[in-house]
Amino acid sequence: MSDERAQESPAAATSRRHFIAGATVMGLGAKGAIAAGAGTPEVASQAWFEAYLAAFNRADEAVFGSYYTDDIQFFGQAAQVTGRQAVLDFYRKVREHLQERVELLTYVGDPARQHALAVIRTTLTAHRDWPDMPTGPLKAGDRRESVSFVMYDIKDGRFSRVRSARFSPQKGRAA
Amino acid sequence: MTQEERFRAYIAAFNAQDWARLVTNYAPDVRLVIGNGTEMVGHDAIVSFYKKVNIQTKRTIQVRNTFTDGKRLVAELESEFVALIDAPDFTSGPLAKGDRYHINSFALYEYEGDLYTNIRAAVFRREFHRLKPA
Repeated sequence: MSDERAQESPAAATSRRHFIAGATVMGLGAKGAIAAGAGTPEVASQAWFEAYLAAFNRADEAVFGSYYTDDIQFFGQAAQVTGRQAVLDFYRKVREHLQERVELLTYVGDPARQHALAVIRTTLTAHRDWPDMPTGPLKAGDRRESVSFVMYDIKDGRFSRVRSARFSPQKGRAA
Repeated sequence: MTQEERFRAYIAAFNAQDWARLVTNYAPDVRLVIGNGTEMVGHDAIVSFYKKVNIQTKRTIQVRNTFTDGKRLVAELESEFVALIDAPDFTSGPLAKGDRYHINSFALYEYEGDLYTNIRAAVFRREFHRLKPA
């Protein structure tokens, strides 16, 4: 991934991806695709956030990394790091051991576009042993599921702070 | 009154332990799941739970931030519990008289009209300040 791509705005990166996909179907060239900006989701809207999660699930660092400020403060369940590159490095290490899929259960965006809260189900499936996994050792083939409330602080259209809190519904009840 | 203002009044009722005023914010079959997974349904279950918590501790909640999308309200809360008595069965872990317990939590309130129907919270940070080391 080029660093320039990661610094592209989330809206631009998402728009470019979506438009290029559409343009391919329509037989348009890439030049026309990049020039288009219509339909870009508004910052903090659910569509904007879902584009982030979709990019995360396909490990598209250029797009999901573009949602982070340079100095993002990241408080995840398994890591607390500062800076976009540190977050990307962390997820790269995670992907060496497991597949992480996230599913959006509930989303609330701040109309002032300064915050968002997402309730997210995370499913980890290990493809390698990871005895030092920060939230507990995993063996190849293990599957772990959790639900978290994740608070996003948004600055200039990017996440400047991400804080994840584990939700603990009683057994057998939906999150 | 906006939903945010209504929410701050609700928290003020909570801090004042004004249960009669508190429950006017709830739908009859309101569901509440707090950060440790405890689930309550209905006014009586919630009031009974918090009456017990407030015999054991003095809880003060501060609203750090709140926003709503028109259907759900999000709040970031800071809570301090000060143990008024020894509370070995306190909901988040044993406390001795004088101990303090702080939580930073994210709460999600679903509402219909002016009534909360479903409330869920997750704790981001928790910290015990004990008078005597455990």
